[in-house]
Amino acid sequence: MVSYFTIDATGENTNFQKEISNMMHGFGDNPNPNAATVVLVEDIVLQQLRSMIQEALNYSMLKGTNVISNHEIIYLMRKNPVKLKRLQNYQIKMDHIDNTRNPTAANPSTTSILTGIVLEEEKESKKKRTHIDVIKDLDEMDEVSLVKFDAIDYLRKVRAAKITESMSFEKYEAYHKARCSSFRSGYGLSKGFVKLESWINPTKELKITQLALEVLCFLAYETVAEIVDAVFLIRQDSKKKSGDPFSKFEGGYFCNPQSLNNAVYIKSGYEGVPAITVAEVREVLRRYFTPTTGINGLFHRNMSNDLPVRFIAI
Amino acid sequence: MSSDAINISRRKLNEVLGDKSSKYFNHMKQWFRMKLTKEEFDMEARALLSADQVRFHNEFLLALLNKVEGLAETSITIAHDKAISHSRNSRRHKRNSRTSEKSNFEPADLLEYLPPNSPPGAGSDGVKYAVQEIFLPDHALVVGRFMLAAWELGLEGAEDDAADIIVVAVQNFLKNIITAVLSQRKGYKLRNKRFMYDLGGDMPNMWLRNSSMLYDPQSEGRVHVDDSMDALGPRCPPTIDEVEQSAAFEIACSGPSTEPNDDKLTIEEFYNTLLTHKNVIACHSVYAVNMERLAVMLNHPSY
Repeated sequence: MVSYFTIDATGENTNFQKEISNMMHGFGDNPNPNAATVVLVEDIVLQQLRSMIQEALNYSMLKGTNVISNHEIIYLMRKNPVKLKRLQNYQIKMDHIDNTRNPTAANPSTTSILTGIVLEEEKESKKKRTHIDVIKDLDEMDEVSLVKFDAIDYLRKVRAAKITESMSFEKYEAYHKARCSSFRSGYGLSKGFVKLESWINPTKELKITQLALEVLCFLAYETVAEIVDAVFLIRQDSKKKSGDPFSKFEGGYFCNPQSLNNAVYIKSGYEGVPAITVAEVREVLRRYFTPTTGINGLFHRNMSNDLPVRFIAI
Repeated sequence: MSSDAINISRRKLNEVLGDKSSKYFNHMKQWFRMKLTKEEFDMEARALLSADQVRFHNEFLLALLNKVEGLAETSITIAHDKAISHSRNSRRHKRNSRTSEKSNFEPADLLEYLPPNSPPGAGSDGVKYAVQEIFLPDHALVVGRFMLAAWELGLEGAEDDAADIIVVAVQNFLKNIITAVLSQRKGYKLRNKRFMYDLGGDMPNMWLRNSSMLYDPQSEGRVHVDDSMDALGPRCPPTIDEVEQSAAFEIACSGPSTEPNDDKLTIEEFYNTLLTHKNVIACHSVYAVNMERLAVMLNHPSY
């Protein structure tokens, strides 16, 4: 199936189908996701990114600049402290990775005070990530710092390590590669997003900064994750039997400690999961944009006359 | 391609008809709405055309029936194949058991005596509206009606993708309405304040303190900031223990258990739901007409 949205300026197709296919496997889908589903998810992500850019463009025009920077995109996320906290952790990790990769370039204090090199120093500091500063600006009530990730994740990781010890090497290799895909095409702050930019901005009519592209890459990843998560919730709903409250977990994607291998209800999720179908993704989108909850629902008051825009990832 | 054949024959017919084309298409519309049978439509068409022009009419009808047959053919052949193989199997069984008996009585095979089934779609005399069949409109029906509407407006025809969108849209619309009615009746959970799931799950008893809403192991999503190259990776999923425990806790916190309401959906529920959730049906004329119908069904002069 050819997607009509992804033909770029040179006439070739830029698409992220391979990356999205890997990502879906990393999130719990079958090792070979259904091809039509991958095309559909790619279309959805592209549409979502374009609407986000459209909104961000409105904000940047209000501000008077003609460049979309990360401030506008983080402004879109302002109501969701969990995602902001995740973006903060993301920046901390990425800075750490960049520092360990390039120990010399990250130290502006070693440059001398001559005028020519002072300009270079300013350029260096502009290249640093500013997401955390923007988040702190927007977060008036300090909600983001109150969001805590707790020790439960650590316990799960211990259990997951136990399971992967029993997987064969090739399977683990493939699984590990799948978990590592993302929308980024290179590493380092300046050159990482060539493919992403040619995907969403093929004719280069909008000016988007590199930092903004980094946040968009994060949001695209979140979108795919939300879609897959919602598909698994729907599958749980469809498996419910009346009178048996644990039947809905049958065959789902859970981290299965070795001790429950002989449990009646549960199958391990790695290979046995049926691939996500197009109909399931359509049902997910129907429920996200249903007219009865949220913005079009009964008790919502729209004080400002904006048209409601809804994003899956935010 | 068959759609070209239809277009070519239609254009020739239009040239030949000239002024009478609007009358011709009116008759054709009435045929689709089942106010005329195929024979009557044929007679009217022959009355409008001269002897050698009838040929164009025949060609057009032939092209139309071919196109619709092609669309509906696969489902018919599958059903027919199943019927044939079923009758073959049953016949084999009967022969094996009765070769030794003297009086051979075999019950007749029903499938031989049924009338041959006609293909659904534009060319047949079967029902045309989805409500009469109590089936959702399928691809063939929608394409047939689209093409007719397009020709009336002077367009070329209809593509298959447009019919696909309509088929999915009808399903979505009906699902939205049914979900709205069910959400009035049973409890559900919201994810991200927008995504409704777990309809019919146990709701916590509001008169007792509980901590069931504090932590749901499935609520945090699948993205995790970790130590990989991209700093983003899938989160380790919850263990089966955690999930089972949270399900058991939900049941423990729920109110005194009454029998779950398994009744069929009633007209009153639909009426009340559509009164409160007006924007489930976005188009006011559709909404108003159907609310009138519901109100009439609920009302009787003797009440």
